[in-house]
Amino acid sequence: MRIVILIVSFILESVISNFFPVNSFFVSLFSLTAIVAIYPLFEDEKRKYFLAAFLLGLAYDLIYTDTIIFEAFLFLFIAYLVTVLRTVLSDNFLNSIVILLVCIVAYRTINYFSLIITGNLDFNLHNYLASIYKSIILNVIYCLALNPIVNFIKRRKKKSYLF
Amino acid sequence: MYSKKKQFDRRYLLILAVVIIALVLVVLSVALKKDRNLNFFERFAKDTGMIVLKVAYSPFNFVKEQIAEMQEKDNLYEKYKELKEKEDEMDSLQAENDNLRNEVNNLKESLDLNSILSDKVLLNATVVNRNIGYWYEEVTVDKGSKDGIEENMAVITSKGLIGSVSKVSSHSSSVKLLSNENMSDKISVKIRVNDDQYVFGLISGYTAKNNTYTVEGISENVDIPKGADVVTTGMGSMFPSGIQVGTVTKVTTDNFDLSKVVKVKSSVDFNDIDYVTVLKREA
Repeated sequence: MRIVILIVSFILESVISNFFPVNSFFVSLFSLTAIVAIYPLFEDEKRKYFLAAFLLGLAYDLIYTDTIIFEAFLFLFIAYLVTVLRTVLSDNFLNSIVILLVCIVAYRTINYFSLIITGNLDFNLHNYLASIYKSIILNVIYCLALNPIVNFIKRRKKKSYLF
Repeated sequence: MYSKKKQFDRRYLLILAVVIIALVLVVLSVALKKDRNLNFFERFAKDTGMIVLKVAYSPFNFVKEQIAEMQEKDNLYEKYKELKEKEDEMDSLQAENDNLRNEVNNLKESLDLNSILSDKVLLNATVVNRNIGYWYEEVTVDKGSKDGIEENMAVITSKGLIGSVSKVSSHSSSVKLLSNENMSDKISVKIRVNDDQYVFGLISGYTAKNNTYTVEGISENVDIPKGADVVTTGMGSMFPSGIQVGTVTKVTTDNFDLSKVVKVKSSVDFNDIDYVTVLKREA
């Protein structure tokens, strides 16, 4: 089920991008949001969680951005960031959103500055900030939509352990 | 003895840090290099992914088209009137077009030319995803090398030029949009000053805020009217001539007052691209 959520999020990210104008306030980052949202389902299997993040990043590299293992390591770092933040913050609705926001900022910052360092982009503070605030609305909504699904799967998993 | 060892350790750590930073930079520059060809494994993965995405997108696309159709039905009468007016002009335009085509063919024959700059073959494609990487200003279309698409081919919509093909796999291609503020390729364009006079320049940049290009390098001392059409010249290997780019909105001079700098409003809305046409220049 965890893998299904990741695959659906990955596909949905591409589908949704066709429904909103490129420069709108609805930039989808559903793969990243899924990595953040499904952490509770991997709580006791961190190695599997990191592997899933890495593979999702690799698929992102190959299918969406045409880069070589860059997104794979970036997703891996985001997964690590999530595990660190989850040890500090308790598992609730609001904290999930806070973690998602931190991850969006980290993802955009690393991505942008890597492209600047390698000479692919020139620094523009407005563009950098725009990339962050345009990614917030849609992904927070998606995270809120994933939360009850994740909780349901978690409860069912717990029940199956008990019986 | 202890301090010497500590100093050695620090030096060792410093060298290690420099080596790691250098290594990271090298890996990053390779990983993020955009002008490279996809290898077999990448092409295979991209093609497989695109087939899945196309299947997943088709029901959504169907709904989207139905909604657009319903919206168009509301303006049916206005559209009919508009088309009726255009129909009256069509006959004379068709005759003029046939006449010009004959003239071009006769001139080609008399000059022994195999092709001219405006010769092109059209390939239609659907956009599968838009600018997923955010910074790359690319869209992915559902046609690839199997359909005859090659790198650097010009890509247009019904409104005008949007960019060029940057990467090709068997069943999909990435299109680098001109809405890229870090434009590295200069595009040769001509501005129609009056009925039979053009001035030539180069597109040197793009501003997303106003959806305008900056055209530089115009040294001719002629007045460029606002609203003048800007089209490609066909110089260089990438774009055929005569493709609409936009219209002039502002004319200024450069810092040294030596040449004109023209702001050109793009004829294309880069935010909303669903279907594109890839132009193959005839050899």
